[in-house]
Amino acid sequence: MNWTKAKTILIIALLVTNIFLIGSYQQRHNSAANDLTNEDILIQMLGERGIDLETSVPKGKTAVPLLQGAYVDIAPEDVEALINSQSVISAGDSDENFTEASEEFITYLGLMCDSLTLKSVFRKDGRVWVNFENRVNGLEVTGNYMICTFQGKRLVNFAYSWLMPTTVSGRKAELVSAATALMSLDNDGEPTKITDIKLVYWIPDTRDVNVDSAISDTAFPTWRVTTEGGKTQYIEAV
Amino acid sequence: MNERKLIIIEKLKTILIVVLTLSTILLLYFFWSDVSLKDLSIDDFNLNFGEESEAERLTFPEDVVLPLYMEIINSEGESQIAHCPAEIYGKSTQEGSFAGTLAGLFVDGEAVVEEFPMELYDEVYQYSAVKCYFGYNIPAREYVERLGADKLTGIENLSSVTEVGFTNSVPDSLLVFDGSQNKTYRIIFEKKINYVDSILAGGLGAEYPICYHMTDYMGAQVKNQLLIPLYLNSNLESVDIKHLLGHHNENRINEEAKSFFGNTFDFVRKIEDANGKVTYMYGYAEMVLILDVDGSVEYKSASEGKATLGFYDSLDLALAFVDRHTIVPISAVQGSRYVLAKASRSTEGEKTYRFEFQQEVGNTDIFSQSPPLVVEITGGVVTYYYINQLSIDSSESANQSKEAFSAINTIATNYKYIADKLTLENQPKSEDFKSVKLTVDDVAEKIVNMRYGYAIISEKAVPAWEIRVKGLENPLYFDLYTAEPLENKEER
Repeated sequence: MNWTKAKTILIIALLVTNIFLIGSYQQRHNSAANDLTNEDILIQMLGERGIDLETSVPKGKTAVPLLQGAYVDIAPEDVEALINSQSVISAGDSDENFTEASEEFITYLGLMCDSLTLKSVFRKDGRVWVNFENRVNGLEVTGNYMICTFQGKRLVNFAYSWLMPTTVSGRKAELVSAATALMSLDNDGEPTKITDIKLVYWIPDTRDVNVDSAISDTAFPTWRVTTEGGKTQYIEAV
Repeated sequence: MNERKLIIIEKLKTILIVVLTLSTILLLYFFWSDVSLKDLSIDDFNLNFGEESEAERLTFPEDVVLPLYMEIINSEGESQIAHCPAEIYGKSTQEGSFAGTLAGLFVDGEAVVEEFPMELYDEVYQYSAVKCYFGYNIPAREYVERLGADKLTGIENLSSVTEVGFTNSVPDSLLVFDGSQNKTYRIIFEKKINYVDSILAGGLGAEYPICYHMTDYMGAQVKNQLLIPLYLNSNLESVDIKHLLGHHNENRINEEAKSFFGNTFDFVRKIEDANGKVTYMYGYAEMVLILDVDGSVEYKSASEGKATLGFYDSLDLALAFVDRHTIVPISAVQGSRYVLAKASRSTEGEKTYRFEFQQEVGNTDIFSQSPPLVVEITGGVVTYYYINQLSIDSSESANQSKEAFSAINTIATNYKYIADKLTLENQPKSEDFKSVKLTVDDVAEKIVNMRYGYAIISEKAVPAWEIRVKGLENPLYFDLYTAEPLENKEER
């Protein structure tokens, strides 16, 4: 057997296969984002419907898993009791000090998780609000927050609404492009200015499914479109 | 030098092959791990369902299309009522059974359908007769064809089969009550039918109680012709029940849910509530599956098919679905049987068939206010399914039977209780309702059905009389041996 020839043939075959796979993979990703490339056309089409696009159209993710989580439910009196018993005090006056103190308290509560992400530290009239958001796979879980309020350096209040991530789906769901989502925006024919469009995790309403007091739920990748005046619309992305 | 160069080239080739092979594997991994939701369409459901359907068929229409009861009238005019008569009615292949006899008659020769005078219908059933009561309308042509009839003249006149029976008063015919037309017919065969004689000669023994009409007990002032037993001996005892889909068993719940959603299970919304009820939802309620804490499974699908299927084809489809989606097949629970109790077809386009079943265990009815199994077929697709599978260990029944509180005395003892229920339920409904004091005769007149079996009370199956009263939405239950009212009975 001529090994030199065999090796050459094998190299050519593997090269062709790889080129084909790379090409197909690129095509798959490009096809999803194709309509995003023609942003001018999109702006024109939206303009015809009275929608003014004042933000860029996001590109990037094409497939995201679904998020399963359990709702955090701690009785307010238990939170208050813990605030009083732990007397959490910030070690200093910097944002980092307040963040550390807040994280310490969240750990006491047993709510510390990888998805806890600092969003902002806000100060006014001797009060400091440390605001955390829930971010999974780089996406914000809408409506989720933990806010620690300090009076001086002492923690005085804790508020939350939180879906504790438990699992993500085994496979990723392919996303509807942002452009497609924008085209399905409902503006009732009224002139609308879009100021932001972002991919987020969103938990749909439970009214349609007749569930009382859900303790766990699924969050879906969803396009959150913000219009002038802060009004938001959620458009399903899967 | 040349040789050295060649060696280097060969080495490079080998390295290149390794690199290219690894990169191929890596690229294939990226490809496969990036399977998208869009690649999985509704066809996946069909594929999934279709693959399983053939292998796991266990229940067929003949297993569930059975009379709710059979009445056997002897030569002296005494009636025996056989509830759960699966063994007497049998299947078309069972020689000596009702269905077997009928199938034999159809196969043996020609037959003719003709209308039978309604005024004679009850009269011919007075002596030596056997009547099967289905309680719903089965399309007549489908019923007889299922039994092998192919030479039946005049079948087009007969719309549906609601009751069928043989009587020695009309010895060459099958009598049929057509509930959809409210008419009576007979199917005339070429030869005399000996079924009634063989049944009476075989003697049903004490297994089925002798019954008399309500009017016979109460006197002529009560016109109610309902048959109730004179005496009843029973060996039923209170026994524990078991829900086959326990809500604590997460693996079972996942297994059950996966059987509905197949490959799309990863993309289904799952909501659990504080009580433990789990709701799965695909899309915007395109498919909803609810696994409740009482062990019930409810499924709804918004996608309707376009096919128009007949009674038996729809039922066959329904049973195939049930076989696929019950962790323990309904026909595999020992001593348990599901019987079709109600079948209705939507008037609009006749696209939807709704089948409601009742459960029997050890030839005893299990009473339920809502049916334990419901399937709806719309255009050839299952659009609704509900099941609450119970298992009752009927072997716990006492070996020695004892006398039940007699049916008529149960009514007499509890007529005030029943009257109070009637007053309570009807008073708020209509302004012109007069709160008259109901007598025992008034109550007896209003009773539309009375049978015995198991009532489910506080997770136990309790031997009970079930009484259905005209004017009361739900049936009433009374202890079979003491006639005590059983309150808060239905927890299913």
